[in-house]
Amino acid sequence: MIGTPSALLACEASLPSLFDRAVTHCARRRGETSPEILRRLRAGDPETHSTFRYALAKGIGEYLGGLGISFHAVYVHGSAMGDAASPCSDIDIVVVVGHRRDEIERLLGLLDVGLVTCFRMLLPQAKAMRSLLDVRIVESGEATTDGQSMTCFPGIASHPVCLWRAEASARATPERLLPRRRQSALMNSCRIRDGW
Amino acid sequence: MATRNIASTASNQLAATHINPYEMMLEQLDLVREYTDIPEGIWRILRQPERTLEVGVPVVRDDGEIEVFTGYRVQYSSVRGPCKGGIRFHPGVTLDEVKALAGWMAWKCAVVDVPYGGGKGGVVCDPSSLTRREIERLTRRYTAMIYPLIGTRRDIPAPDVNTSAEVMNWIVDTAGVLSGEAVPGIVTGKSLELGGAAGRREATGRGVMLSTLGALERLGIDVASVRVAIQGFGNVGSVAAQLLAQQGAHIVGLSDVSGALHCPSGFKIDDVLRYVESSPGHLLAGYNATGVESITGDELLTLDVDVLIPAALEAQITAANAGSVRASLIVEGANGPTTPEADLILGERGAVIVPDILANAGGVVCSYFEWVQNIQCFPWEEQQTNQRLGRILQRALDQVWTLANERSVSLRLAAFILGVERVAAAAQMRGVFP
Repeated sequence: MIGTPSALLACEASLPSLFDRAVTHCARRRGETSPEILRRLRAGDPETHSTFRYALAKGIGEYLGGLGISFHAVYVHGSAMGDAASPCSDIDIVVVVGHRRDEIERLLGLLDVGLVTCFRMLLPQAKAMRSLLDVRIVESGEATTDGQSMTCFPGIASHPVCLWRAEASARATPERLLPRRRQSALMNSCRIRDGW
Repeated sequence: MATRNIASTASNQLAATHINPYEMMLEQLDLVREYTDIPEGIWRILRQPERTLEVGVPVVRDDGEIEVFTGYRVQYSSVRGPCKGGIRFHPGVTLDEVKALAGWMAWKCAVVDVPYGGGKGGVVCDPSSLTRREIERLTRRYTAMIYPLIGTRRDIPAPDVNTSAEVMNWIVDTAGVLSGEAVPGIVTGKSLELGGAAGRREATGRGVMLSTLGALERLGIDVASVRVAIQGFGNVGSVAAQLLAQQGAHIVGLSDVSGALHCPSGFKIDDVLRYVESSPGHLLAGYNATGVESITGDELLTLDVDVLIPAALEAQITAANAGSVRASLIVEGANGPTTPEADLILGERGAVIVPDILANAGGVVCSYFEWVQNIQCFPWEEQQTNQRLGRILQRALDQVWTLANERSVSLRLAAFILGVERVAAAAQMRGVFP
């Protein structure tokens, strides 16, 4: 659109590339080709949907992380962490920021519009979906650790898994409070799941 | 080999994905809702245009063939007054784009508190493939097709992408013929001879200057001490440059499609304007004076200046260059020059951004003045227009600035909140018919 007002300007994220990487990730994990993964997604295979969502969340984390100091960490939880996601499941993400700002909410909202548009293109059965991301924005001070030294966020019962974390701001994130052994285990769990 | 196939599959299928601008507008509305207490029912009203019209526009081409174009007119909201919004001729026009732009006009008119609602129109066509006579026939037939919707008290079109004062003149004439009476107030942006407003051409640039002065004042910065870079030297950028220079600002960076120039000691803007006026393409290319050096367009955006005025195209300040922008005040003369990512990065740095919905609203305010003069059959002096424009824009900036402070939000969101809340308040006061 020419002369696009700011409210109608899409985010810059390369959405096809994010989706490509997520499909590639699924294909590598399953030892299959990309068309086969797309067929599985369209057939509603729960495990593929979970893996796909995890990989997409990972890509989103890296994209947000590349934007500067606003973001401290990105976590994923919910169906992307299991193997039972449905074609219409959303991706549950926790974004840890220094301070909540409307620019952050706005960017994440516009990112979601772009992502769900692409998702609907790939999966005809997701045509009615209006949102793909379920994002919780949390200030770094709001995160806590439970008795097992796992990171907890208000209102989220499960333990989210860290997808991306800012090196420079790591001092301010709750993981800094974790025992070294626990930090290492957490990071390893991310890497095992990743397989990028 | 397998990896290459895998990597291209999703991209191939998503290559033509078009992100729906109307969905984007609704997303912004939902964000605003978190900061307001607009009742659910009123919210439902705001999320949908009042009226959309799709028309087939048959045109006899110069070779005698008949071609049928698709046109739209959307009235998003009329709760604050007659709908107001331009008509664009472009091959990429879609109904959802027109709906989104019509909504944008509703919020924009409300931000500056002119008694208008929001509308927009468009015809799916490539004007570069049409002759002037064909464009005239297209305009006249399109006017006839949307005539049941438009009117001085109903819906007032204006120029937009690829539509000029000449196109507005044809609309006034066609509407006059159809109604059997003079209807100069049915469009704005007409030629002066047909009831256009003196000062209309300069109004957007003047508004940018006024927004800049207002923001500087609130930031406690003396205009005489600021260095300004302006991207774009058309109707908006050149006028803003001239008026800011008259206020004592040092314009040290200028650019247009032909290139960018840097003059650390400050351009003599009147000289530059004279040069551009006399140059064949009306461009900056070839301008030379003591202390002036050529730079790249990217360098212009990252010059060591206090104020940056992007007054050219959308998406110019991006994630790639926002970190290098040194200006502490950015005044959006163009629509959407700052991407959402750049907005975030600039905000981290504490840069103040006067958003497009406010900074470039001078045009629509002057359109309102043109309409008022048409209704009153009483043209104003240009000086009166400029004075009233100043008052309206300063009041709007004041209100947006105050709201941003009260609710701890950016000026962009504050402006959007102000606009949406005003439309919501009017909708609530009217109630629901029947």
